Amino acid sequence: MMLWYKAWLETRMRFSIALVLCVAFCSELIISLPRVGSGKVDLVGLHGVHYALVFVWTLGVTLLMMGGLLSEKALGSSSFTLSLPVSRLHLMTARTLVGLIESVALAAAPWIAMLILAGSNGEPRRYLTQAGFHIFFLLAGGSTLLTIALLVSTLIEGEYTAPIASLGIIILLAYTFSGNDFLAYSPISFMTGLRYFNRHTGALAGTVPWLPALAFIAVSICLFVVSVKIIERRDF
Amino acid sequence: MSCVPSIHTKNLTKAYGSTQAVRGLNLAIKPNQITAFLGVNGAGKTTTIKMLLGMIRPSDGDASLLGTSIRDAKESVRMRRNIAYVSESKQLYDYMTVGQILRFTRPFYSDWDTSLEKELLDTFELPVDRRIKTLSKGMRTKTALLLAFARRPKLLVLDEPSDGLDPIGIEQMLQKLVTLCSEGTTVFFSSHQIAEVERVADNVCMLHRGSLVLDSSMDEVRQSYRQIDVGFSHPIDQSAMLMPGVESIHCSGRQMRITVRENAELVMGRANDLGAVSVESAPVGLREIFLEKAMDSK
Repeated sequence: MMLWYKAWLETRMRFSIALVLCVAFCSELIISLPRVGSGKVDLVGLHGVHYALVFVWTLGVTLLMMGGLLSEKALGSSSFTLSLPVSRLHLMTARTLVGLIESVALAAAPWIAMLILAGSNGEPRRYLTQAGFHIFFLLAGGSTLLTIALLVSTLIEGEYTAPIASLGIIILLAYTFSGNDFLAYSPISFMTGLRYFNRHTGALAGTVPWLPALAFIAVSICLFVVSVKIIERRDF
Repeated sequence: MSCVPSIHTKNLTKAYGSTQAVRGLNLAIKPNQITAFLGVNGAGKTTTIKMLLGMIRPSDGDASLLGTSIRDAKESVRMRRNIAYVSESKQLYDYMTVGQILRFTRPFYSDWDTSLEKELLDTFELPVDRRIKTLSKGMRTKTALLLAFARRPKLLVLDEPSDGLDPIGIEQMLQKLVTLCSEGTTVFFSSHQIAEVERVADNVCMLHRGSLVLDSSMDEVRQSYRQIDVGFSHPIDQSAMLMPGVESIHCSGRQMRITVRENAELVMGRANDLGAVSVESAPVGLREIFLEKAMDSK
């Protein structure tokens, strides 16, 4: 439990800034959107803002996952951490789980703000379901990006080079999978929910795509395991 | 009292490419005693300590701490409940306050001594609400020492513990080391401060270029090591004085300075046999031995 406490203290400043930025950015976009009917924002508008959220969420989560033992090695505090009676696996797990919880908050809080500001246009249940769908897509696809950032933080110890490298990989990933043939394999495309967006209804439709979601989560687990193995074999 | 060494290394080696940082180290650190670990910068002290604590993997050999092999990762985690370590950098988490790092560390150790924690907070005058980032180097060192002492370890490993401390802080730290040792803690500490070592250490080990060049009790060092100054009326080949126990010979004209670790009487007798006009023997301090061993290899 104390490792969770440590991970929280380590990331809380970055998390707070990312949370404020995500909520403020999405809120500003909602406020600036054209209104329909009784002055509400329609689902198409919300879907558009979700695109922007994918961008800031990725940025925020990348920064949140920086740190860890390699960064501590650069700062000199890794010796204290490694002298504690805990395994490197436990250290990594606690840090990742705290990052995961924070990333859920980074996805949910902006959507709560968006729903409040947009109004439900008389369909609160539908708006809530759509919010849930979007958050699901964002987190399932985003878990891959989260663990990419984790992996990079176990390979590069620079305070600035690690997040830059991580974002570089994510941009490369987005570019590589941008062709129509590969779009289904793109975690970023999945995060936006584009493939499930119905232009006529202005909402995400169809059954919950469990299989691709689980595939992205499986990739994330693999990346986590690789990160742990790297840290376990590393000299500090 | 247990006779099992608190630290036992067998041919412990660490190589970085073609550079050997630690070469076949064989150590047996006696329990419930204070052992100093000496060596110039880059001698391999920190590498050795980090290997013992599982932070660096040995290239060869093995070691055990409190009877547990360092190669067993699971046992190594369990073993660390009984070991406290203060690193050379003394860096802790900058984003925590002194109070927060105490709160964080305490639950890992079932033997944590809250009354000792309070006593040391008072003695070291540590501000619990201050962020570690804003503490001076000395205060950081004191915080690191507090975290190590309060967990009541069976084995205390310190890497340059007095670094950054003022004379009062050094005195407090040394007194605490002696107290902890008398209460059953084995202390293994590296230092460049020979005066500190001479004051508190029961044993001394010295590493030079990764190899063990001295492993002795302080009593043996005080009693056995001698510096013998010999004056001859005629030039003499220094090889004539080479015999068991002679550590080094320095010649300057007809004067010869011989450092011996044993057999001082035999060496003096040989000098007399060779026609020495003056033979004087004096005890050697640890500082001289340290310099001798470090300079000799250069």
